[in-house]
Amino acid sequence: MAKILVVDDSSTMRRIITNTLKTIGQENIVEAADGVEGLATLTANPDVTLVLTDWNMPNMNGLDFLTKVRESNKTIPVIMITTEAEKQNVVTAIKAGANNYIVKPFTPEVLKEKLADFLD
Amino acid sequence: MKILVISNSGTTPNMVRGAFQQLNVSNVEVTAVAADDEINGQVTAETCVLVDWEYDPAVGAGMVKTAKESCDKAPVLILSAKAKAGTTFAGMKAGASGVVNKPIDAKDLVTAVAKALKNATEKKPAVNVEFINPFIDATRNVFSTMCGMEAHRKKLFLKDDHKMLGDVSGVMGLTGAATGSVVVSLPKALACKVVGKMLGMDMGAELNPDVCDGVGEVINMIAGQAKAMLVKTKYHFTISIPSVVSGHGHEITHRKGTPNIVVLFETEGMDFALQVCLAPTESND
Ligand SMILES: [Mg+2]
Repeated sequence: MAKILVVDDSSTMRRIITNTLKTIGQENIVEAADGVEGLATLTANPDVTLVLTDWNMPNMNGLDFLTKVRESNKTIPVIMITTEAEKQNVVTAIKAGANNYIVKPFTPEVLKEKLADFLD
Repeated sequence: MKILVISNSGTTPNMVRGAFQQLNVSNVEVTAVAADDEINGQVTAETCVLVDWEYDPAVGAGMVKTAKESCDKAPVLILSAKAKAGTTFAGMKAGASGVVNKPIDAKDLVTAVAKALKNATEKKPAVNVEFINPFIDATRNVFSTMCGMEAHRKKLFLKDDHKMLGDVSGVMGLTGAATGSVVVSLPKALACKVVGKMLGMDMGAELNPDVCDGVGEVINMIAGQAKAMLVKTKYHFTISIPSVVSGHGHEITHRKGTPNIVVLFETEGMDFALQVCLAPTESND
């Protein structure tokens, strides 16, 4: 059973993502509002199996958060969900260890499709 | 200075006269009419028309239109009370160039009238708006993808003052190769509807922290999309964290000396404004 961490400074965006996750039967979700909280939540929930993170956030952005996660965990899938849509951003995120990249705005269908590979 | 007040109340023209007296501004001639069919011949390019927003928004918009038809160069301002917040978009679409809050603050009114008359007579440099289309496309895209709402572009104009047209505004500061800001300003009812559609739930009718957060995410997505479309141009910028401001007649400053472009949109019978103020960072225009 998957346990998913959703990191985004917007409570609206976290709710949009969790709403979509629930439509595909994913109810085991923890949330964080920035990278600092995200790291703490990961430490407190070592059973998390998938991380979805925003890029632009206060305190610690998604790229720094991803880099920190990769320092200690090379295998957990991390997917960026961000409004940063430039090719250069995607390249930067992938190089930092992101497993996939979703651009906001997105439809629930796109989100489900991109997550399918990481959920069973 | 000539001012024509269109109002069905006797007190509003007196309040206007009082404001100028209070600040000892002489040479002001204030005339008043109760409806737009009485304004014939009274409006010139040197007249500032004030439309008292006590009418139905459609009627008020009609009055703005009549004033602009009788003299296109004459600036038209809307005098709007708190209860009418968010309804003044119709007047802006009809050609008004700004809103003054009621109850009238003397300094507010005198400054707005002087500025409007100055802008109307001053020859303006041509404004380069090549960067505006990405913002318009981004706005349409965010509304259709996240809310299933079609946003139609209506009118585009320049606005000097800092007063926002909506009840709640999402703001994103833009830095990097280009500097400025982009703002989306919505009436309360539309903000609740937009956020409700994003979340698939009824948000009620009041601005609460959830609705405000949603408005912040809307401007975040608009700015991000536009940014990607402007890559490799001199208008490329970086974004950070959006902020949200609300309240009747709230103000948001924009970069001084840079044209502030307002694009009015209509969606599902309601209006909202996108405001873009952007110029290459090294320029000092
Ligand atoms: Mg964010």
